[in-house]
Amino acid sequence: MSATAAPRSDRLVFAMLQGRVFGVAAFLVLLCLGFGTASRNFLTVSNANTIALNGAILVVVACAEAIVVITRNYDLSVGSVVALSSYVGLDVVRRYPEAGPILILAPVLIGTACGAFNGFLVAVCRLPSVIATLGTMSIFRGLAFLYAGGHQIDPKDLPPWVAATVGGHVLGLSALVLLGFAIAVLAALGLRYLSVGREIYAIGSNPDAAPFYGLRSERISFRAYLICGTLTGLAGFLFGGRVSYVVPYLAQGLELTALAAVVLGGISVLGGSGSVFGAALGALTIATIENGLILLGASEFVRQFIYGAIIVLAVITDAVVQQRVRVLLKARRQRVRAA
Amino acid sequence: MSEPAARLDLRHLSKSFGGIRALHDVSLRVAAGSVHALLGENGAGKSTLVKIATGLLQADAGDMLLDGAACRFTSPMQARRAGVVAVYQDPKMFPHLDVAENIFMGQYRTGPGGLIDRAVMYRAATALLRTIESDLDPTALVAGLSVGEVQFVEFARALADRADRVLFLDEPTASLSPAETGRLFRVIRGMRDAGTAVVIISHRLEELRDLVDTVTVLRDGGHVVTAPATALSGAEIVRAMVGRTLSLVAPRPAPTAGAETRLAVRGLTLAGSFDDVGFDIRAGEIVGMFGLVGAGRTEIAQALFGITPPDAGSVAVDGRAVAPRSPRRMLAAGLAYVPEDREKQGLVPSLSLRLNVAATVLDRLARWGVLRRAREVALAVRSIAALAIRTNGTEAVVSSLSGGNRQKVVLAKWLAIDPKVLLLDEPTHGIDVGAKAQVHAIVAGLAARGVAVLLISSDLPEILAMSDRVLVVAGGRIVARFDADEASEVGILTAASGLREAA
Repeated sequence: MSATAAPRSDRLVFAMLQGRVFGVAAFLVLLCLGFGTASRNFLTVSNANTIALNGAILVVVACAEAIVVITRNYDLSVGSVVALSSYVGLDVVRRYPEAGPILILAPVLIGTACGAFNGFLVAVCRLPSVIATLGTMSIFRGLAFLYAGGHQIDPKDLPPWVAATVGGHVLGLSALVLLGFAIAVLAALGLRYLSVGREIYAIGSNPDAAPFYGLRSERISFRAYLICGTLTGLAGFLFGGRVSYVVPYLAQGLELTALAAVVLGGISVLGGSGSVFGAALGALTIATIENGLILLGASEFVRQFIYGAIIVLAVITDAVVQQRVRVLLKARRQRVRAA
Repeated sequence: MSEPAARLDLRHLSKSFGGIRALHDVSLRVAAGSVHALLGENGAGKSTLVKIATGLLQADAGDMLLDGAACRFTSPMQARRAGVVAVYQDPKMFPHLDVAENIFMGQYRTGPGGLIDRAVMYRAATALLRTIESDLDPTALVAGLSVGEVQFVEFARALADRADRVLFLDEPTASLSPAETGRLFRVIRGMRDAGTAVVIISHRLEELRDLVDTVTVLRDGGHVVTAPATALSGAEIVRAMVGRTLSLVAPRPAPTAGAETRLAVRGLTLAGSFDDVGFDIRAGEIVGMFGLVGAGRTEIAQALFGITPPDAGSVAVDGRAVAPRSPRRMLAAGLAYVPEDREKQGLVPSLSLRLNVAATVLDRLARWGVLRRAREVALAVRSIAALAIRTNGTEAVVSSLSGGNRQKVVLAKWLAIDPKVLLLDEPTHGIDVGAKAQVHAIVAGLAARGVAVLLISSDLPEILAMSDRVLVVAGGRIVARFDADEASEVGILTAASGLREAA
């Protein structure tokens, strides 16, 4: 059982699992070349900037969703959490302009509360996550409408620090883009270097084994929802700071786009594997596709069709890769046994 | 024995599951720095004992002392913290994580800011693996490891937790190569010399000879004998393990000689599971298939039924060749398979008895594609009467029935298709004595009507009482064949455990 002299298939397995992120990156490059040939306006600095700005928020939401998906759960409520935290959070900001940037915590904590409620339903009440978050998707959206009562928030009424944060620049780079990048990096580091991060992967990988290791699955999946909600609340703030009017029907369908990004980024819907960098790249890829299609003049319906197709294709790819990996691993096990 | 307190002292443990006695008044003392073998047939109570000692199950009665202090574990983690660990045949691991992460999961050593120092973790993992003579790469994914390698990861984990006061090993050599087995034994000796009390649960007593200090044999949940390993011969141990009595078996008439061959299997092979399996079953014959856990019996049955199609070999039913490529095809050929795991593979526990029994013959019960409820009910009523199923009626939810009655529902489901060949995988496992006798009577009745029966069982008395011929499987091969009159418990068990001349 010498794993030091790894035979070819070992390295292949490793490369296939690790190479998922590179696969998405390669797909993104091809996509850019394709759109670049089709539209003269695509491969420009200003358009790249637009994509990065549009993609940054999706990166944050996709990282949030990814953490939940790794634990074998789903969060279908992220779009509604963005709307609720955005509207209520920015309304608080509008009412207390003198409080200053500390109030960024308002939308973030609203997101945390939503995550806690999702976590309560899934981890404590043990409801299936798809059904529970399908319900909270409507609940949170409904709360946003109830709170708004037909009104909308004009960004002109918000204190100037909001626009300065969301639209600002640090060292010549957009603060929004830097933030999206920072969150992806922090999430990746946290998942790798914090105990809870490894435990998130562990309960997704084999929930039955958890008690043998003293892991409390319900606690860990609750925390995953908490992190997801918090990040989504932050995304709500960013989202609200960028739109022309903050309305309760903001970010409709974002849960689907976020899931598409996660799946495209190579995170297994069966839990336990994938990296948030993949999810972040998946988000950028989707932002790129959206941008390219708009430049090409494709309609909203065509874009919907393409998102759906991406999800299905990504899951098929995933299944093919997983199957291949299983075959290689089985071959390795038999070789070890025969040795 | 009145020396200082033993490392592990189990006193008068008893445990029942729903009226079935799994363990009855069993005591076991294991000294620090010794290796103790726990032997017995399947169902003798070995696993129950280990599960109680490691906190997975709670004893109904009895005490447990660790180094003289009374203790009672309510979870495996609690036992582990006290230094009591079991390494199972199918270790619980996180396949997507790497070796080092699995070793330290649940107790990562963290540095400043609660961060895991991965460099330290990998170094510690390498050091641990080296102490157990494993050159596994700590960054390798566990998904790609062989069962043997995974066991070494478990050992490293036990050492990492300093869970080395008592170590239980459940059939540790069942899936190891000879080289791995040799290494495992060196590791066990090393741990013994360091003062660990090691308990090995096994059937394969011969290969444990040089390792074991003391032997305890269990039978039927009771204690039979404890003696120094040198004091017992292989034959004596086998005799202690067998000798169970099976009451209530209906005597069957011998099958008519010269009946035509129903099922003919030749050269059936599935790489990694079994090799060159061949046998015939005639109409009205019951052929028993005995083997220890992991011998490949279930794999053979599932390949025959087309669930995991074999790589090579031929199957013929009533002389017509049929390739076992899918259960659908085998069903059409007249085979039926009663799986070992009836809850997961044999039944839809949340549906009614009527729907379960009708599941195999829906097309026959339908007219113009629409199911006729009256026919379903009639079938269910017939089944309840024919198999004496104890139920509140045809609409009773299957999960509300007792184990024996659930098994009768599985049988009823297959009898509805009128099979030519019936493959039974552990048909009486975990059901009470009375229901067991009824299942035996049903099976004997089917054979009398000309069905060819393959009876897979780890229950030796059952095999002996029911079978016209016995096949013994070990290591994926048929290693011995007996006719009913020449089959004996000692002979069968000797063949199955690879003992040469114990009898």
